[in-house]
Amino acid sequence: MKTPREILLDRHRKAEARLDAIRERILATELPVKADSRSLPLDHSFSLAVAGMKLWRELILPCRRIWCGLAAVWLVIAVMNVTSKDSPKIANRRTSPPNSEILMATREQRLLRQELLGSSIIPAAPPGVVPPRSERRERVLFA
Amino acid sequence: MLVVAEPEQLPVPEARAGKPDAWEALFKRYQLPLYVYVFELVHNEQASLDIVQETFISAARYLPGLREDEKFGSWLFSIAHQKCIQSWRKHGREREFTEDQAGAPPEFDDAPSELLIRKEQEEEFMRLISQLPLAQRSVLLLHFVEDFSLEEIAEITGSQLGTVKSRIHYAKKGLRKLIEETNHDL
Repeated sequence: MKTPREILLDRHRKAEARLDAIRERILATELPVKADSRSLPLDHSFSLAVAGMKLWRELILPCRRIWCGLAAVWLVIAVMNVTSKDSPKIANRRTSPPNSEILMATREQRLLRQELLGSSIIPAAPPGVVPPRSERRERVLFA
Repeated sequence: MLVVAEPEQLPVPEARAGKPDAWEALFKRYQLPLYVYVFELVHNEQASLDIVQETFISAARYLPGLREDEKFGSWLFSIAHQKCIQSWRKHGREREFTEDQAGAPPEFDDAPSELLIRKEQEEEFMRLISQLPLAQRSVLLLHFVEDFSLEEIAEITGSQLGTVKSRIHYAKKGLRKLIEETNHDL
C-alpha cells in the first residue's frame, strides 16, 4: 500500500537525472549573477522602488479618497499662503512715507485746482518770509 | 552540504544571503515534487522541465521579495503554477482552470496520507488523476504531493478557499469511487 504522494514521486523518479542537471546549471549560472547584482547600487534603488510600491499599495490606495481630500485641503492652504504673502508688499507700498518730490507735486496740484475753481483767495505769506518761486509767479499773474 | 530534514528547517535565510549550499538544498528538496506537479498538469516532459527551470530561476531572482520564509514551498509552487497557466494560455486551455465547480463547498475531509492505494490500483489511480479537469487536478496534486493546507492551495492557485474545498472534495469523491469499484472487482 502506498500513499498518493509516494506513487506520484515514484512515477517520475526517472526524470531526476535531468532535474539534477538543471539544478547544477542554475547554480552555476544564476547565483553568481545574483551575487554580482546584489553589490550594485541598482539593487538598493530597486529595494527603494519596492518599498515605495508597498507604501503606495498598503497606505495610499486603500484610503485614496481621504488622501485626495487632504491633498485638496493642502493645495487650498498653499494658495492662501501665497496670496497672503503678496498683500503685505502692497500694504507696505501704500504706507511708505512720501518723498519731497511727491509732496511738491501734490502741493502744485492743489494750487492749480484752486486756480481753476476761481478762488482768488491766496493765503498771503507772512511778512519777511520769501514765498516759493511758484507762489511769487502766481501773485504776479493775479495782480 | 546542508541537508533538508523538515520543511520548517528550510535554509531560506541562507539562500537569501546567497549561499550556494542553501540553494542546492532547496532545489534538491523541491525539484521532483515540482516536476511531478507540473508534468501532471501539462503532460509534456520537455515543457515540464522548462517550467521547473524557469521556476528555479525566478526563485533565485525574487527570493528577497518573499516575506515569510516558512512559505517558501507554497511560494515556489505558486511561481510554477503561474508558469503552467502561461503554458495553458498558449494552448487556449486557461478557461479550463478558471471554471469553478458548481455547488456549495462541502467540509474538507481527510489528510492525503489516510488514502492508501494498493499496487494493483496504481495504474488506475494515475489514469484517474490525468482524467480529472485541470482545476480539480491542480488542487488535488498540491494536496497529495506537498500536503499543502487549503489556504496555501488557495494562495498558490489564486482561487477562493471555498472553491478549493469544493474542487478537492469532488476530485477525492471520484477517486474513492474508483478505489471502491476496483476493490469490488478483485
